[in-house]
Amino acid sequence: MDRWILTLTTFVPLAGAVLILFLPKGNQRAIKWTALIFSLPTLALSILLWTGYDYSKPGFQYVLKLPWIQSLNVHYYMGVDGISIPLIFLTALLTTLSLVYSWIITERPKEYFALFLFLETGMIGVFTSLDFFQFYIFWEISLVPMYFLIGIWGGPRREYAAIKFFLYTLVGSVAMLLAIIGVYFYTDPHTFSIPDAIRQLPFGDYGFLQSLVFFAFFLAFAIKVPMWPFHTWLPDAHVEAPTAGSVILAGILLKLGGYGFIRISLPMFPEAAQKYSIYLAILALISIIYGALVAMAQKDMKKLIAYSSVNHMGYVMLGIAAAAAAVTGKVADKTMALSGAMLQMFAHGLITGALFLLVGVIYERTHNRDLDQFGGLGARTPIYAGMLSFMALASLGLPGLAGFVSEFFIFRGALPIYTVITALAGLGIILNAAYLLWMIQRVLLGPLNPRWAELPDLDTREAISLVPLAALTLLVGILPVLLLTTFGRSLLDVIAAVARGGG
Amino acid sequence: MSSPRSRAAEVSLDFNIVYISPELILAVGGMLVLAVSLGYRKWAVPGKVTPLSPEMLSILVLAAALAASIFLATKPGVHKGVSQFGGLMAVDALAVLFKIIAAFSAIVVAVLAIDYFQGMRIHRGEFYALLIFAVLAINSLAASTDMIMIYLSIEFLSLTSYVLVGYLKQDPRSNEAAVKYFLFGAVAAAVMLYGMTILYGISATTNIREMNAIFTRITPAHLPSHILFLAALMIMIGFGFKIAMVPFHQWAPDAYEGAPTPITAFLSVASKAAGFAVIVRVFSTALHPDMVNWGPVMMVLSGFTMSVGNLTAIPQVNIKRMLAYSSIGQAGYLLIGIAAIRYSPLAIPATLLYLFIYVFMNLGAFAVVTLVSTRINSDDIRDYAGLAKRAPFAAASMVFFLLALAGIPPTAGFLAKFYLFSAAIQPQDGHLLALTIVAIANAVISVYYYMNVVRVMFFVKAKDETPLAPSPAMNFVVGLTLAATLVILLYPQPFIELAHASAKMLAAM
Repeated sequence: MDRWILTLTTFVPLAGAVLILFLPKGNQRAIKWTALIFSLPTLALSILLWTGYDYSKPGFQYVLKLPWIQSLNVHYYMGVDGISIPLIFLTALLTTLSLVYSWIITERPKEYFALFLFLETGMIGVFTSLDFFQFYIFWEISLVPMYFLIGIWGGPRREYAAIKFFLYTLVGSVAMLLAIIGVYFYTDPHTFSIPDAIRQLPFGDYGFLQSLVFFAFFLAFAIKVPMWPFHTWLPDAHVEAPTAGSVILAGILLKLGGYGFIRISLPMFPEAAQKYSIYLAILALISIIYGALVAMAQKDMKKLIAYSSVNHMGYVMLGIAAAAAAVTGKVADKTMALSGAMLQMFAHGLITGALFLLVGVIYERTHNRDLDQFGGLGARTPIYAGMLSFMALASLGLPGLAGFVSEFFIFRGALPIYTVITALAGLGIILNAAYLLWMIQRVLLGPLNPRWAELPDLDTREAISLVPLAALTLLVGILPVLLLTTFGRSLLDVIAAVARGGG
Repeated sequence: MSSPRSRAAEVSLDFNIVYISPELILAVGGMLVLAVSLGYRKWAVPGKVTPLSPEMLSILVLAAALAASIFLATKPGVHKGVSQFGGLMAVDALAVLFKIIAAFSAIVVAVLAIDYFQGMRIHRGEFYALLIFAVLAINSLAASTDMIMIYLSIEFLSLTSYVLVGYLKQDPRSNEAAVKYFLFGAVAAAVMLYGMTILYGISATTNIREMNAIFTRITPAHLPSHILFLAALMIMIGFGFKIAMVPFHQWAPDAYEGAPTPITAFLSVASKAAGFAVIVRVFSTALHPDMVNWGPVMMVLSGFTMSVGNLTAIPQVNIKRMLAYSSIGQAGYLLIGIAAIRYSPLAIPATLLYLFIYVFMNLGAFAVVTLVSTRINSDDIRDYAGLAKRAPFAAASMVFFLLALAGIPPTAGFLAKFYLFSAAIQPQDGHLLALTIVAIANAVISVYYYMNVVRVMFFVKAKDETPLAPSPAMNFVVGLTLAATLVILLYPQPFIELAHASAKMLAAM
């Protein structure tokens, strides 16, 4: 059973998607319930994975390795460690909550819910795959359903946003594809196994080639994260996507980039990672400041949240860059920075997921996202106001909530390594607080716009999809140790692997 | 040097009836279809398909040929190759692979044609007989190991194709297509023949195995390499015409647009595959790049073919024309494999695997195009609006086929590109790296126009939302190609093995 648990976790949603295709088009209730029911086993299994994971042991657990294409040494290779387990849980959770939120979808529900489950399989597959061939398949699978979700159920510029999203990500993916094949031919024996390739240190003696391959992977991951200047697809995709689509985009798809850096770029190409980590840190800094400044200039609430993702993922990249820095020793600082990056990915998934849901809630009622049109909702819709304030405060890093611990770890870890850059990034925190507080002020405080005098507060469905996120944000804020112990050992291995680059 | 003249006298009937069974079935079956169709009209019930109607009879014949070819693929001797007719033909892994491809695609085409010709006043008997003969031509082309046999097979295939392309006599576009195809074909064939005579002049043999032996024996200093190079170029033009290689591709869009859609599918799949079969055979034996270094030329041709194909596909509004340019682009990718023959042992297997997968994904796409054009009588991409609602299964399958053509997982098209790019990246001195980068840039470009069709089918609402109601046979064909495009990715081992066996057999020659 242990060997097959990851296979089940990954493919149960796909089975649901296929089943939905055979349901009658008119029966919306059946479609929605099927989708929800098929997302639950994955959620349950992801919790089971987490509780059953032995974090004292190094390496991967729940491993299953079967031959697939013998002539290329491709395997069906599943396995997880402390880095992937929290992200699998996050994926399962956000998918389930998004499905609950998506109960309001009435247009072409059959396709919507089937695509959503298909998307879940793609995302979880990325986190469970340990073979490059398989990893790439899942990486690309996550593109296609999102293209449809944006293109069919999106906003007015959906067609443009959908194809832009697809093409941008694809450019990175195909570069990564060539790099993957390059890794294969520079390992001996040739292998697509990610752990084996890390052990073998491909391109160890080829400095230039290592840089080239590192950049190919960098392109794929940096576009996904997205780092400035590869971020231009993000505002379009996030704004045009339907609410649940934005939740998944910001909550999970961006994490695929960060995960790629931690799982592949750092340990597999340590020399290149060290050599270029300073540039990573500079790009991260630009993303932080630029994302915050542009967010501040937005009048559209959804766009503001979208740009806040550029800003927040910048912190993640700062932590990763610090962990990859070419400084010998300082293992404790590096570990702290990388732990912060992992925490931040998890926290950002919860917080931004919730913020997009909250934008969706108000947009559903008013068909308006213009911040200047709101005001005074705090008195009219107190539960909504409480939730929005809570999440915005979490996002700006209020102590006691998830955003604070992650940023604290990142800054505490990165400061001794990249002192100037980290200090400048500190400015981002202030800007961060500024745009979020200003958003709250414009939405919740001030005089109530008479147009919204009859605005109803959160209903049960919306509350169900929001409360778990809020609870977890609080839990991670108070007890970050729950996460830290899970990925602690695995991150140490990553740090050790990067150290092979010489320093 | 063995005397070619005395050997020519030996060309006897040294063949084994089992080894040439697919060809026998096709030859006899084709005649039978013709003969039966003569009388059939007298007792036929209009609109009814019975076992003796030309459609059914030809599908049975083709199915028998397919079964015979698959049977041959399982015979142990075949993987190494068995010579037939005193060296004119070989029954080997390469030939058998293409026999399977040809027979399978002809069956699909025959099924599509049933719907396509519904209500048209055309002679069905001759049509299906010609289709069977075209398969026979491909079978013999894929197996030919002699320049004369190669030339005859190409001409045989071309002649049947010209007639099939112009089969819609009332449609001026179909007529124009046939004439254009014919004129281009005639010129290309003449140039190719000239190249072959040069080879004969140097080697005094027409057999490609013997040519290879002779060229290997001549010391490089004595080998007239520039003349060999010229001959190689000329032959490349002849073959390049068949696969629609740039700059010999101009016939393709017109022929593809004007021809009856099932025939377009046949041209873009089986006919193109046959062209590659003979390229692989000749350019890895008689004209092996170790003797004539055509590698750089092939790289340039490959780069231009894929770029011209993909860039010109973007503005197309007619889906058949778009798929025509797309298949030119696909030929460009395949030529990477040919260009890599000298540098990578994976080159030939990768090319063959790509072709094999390409057959299913392209046939599938054309099956959907046929379905739509028979129902709404249009090939305009704009008329695909709302297809997701009007024919959900066909539209979803089309997405899958287009993703496969673009090389995006989870489709076998991804495996095809993955294997091909592996062959291109393998040489560690990076001979083909530049070409590979051109190829991935093309892959991204191609997504734009492939996804445009997806966009129209799924995002744009139809003016008229009546369901299209595809026939069960149509759905079956679409489902079959869909399943193949998925299953080859999930379980590719047997196909990869057949491709590797072909390459090994060629290397041993």
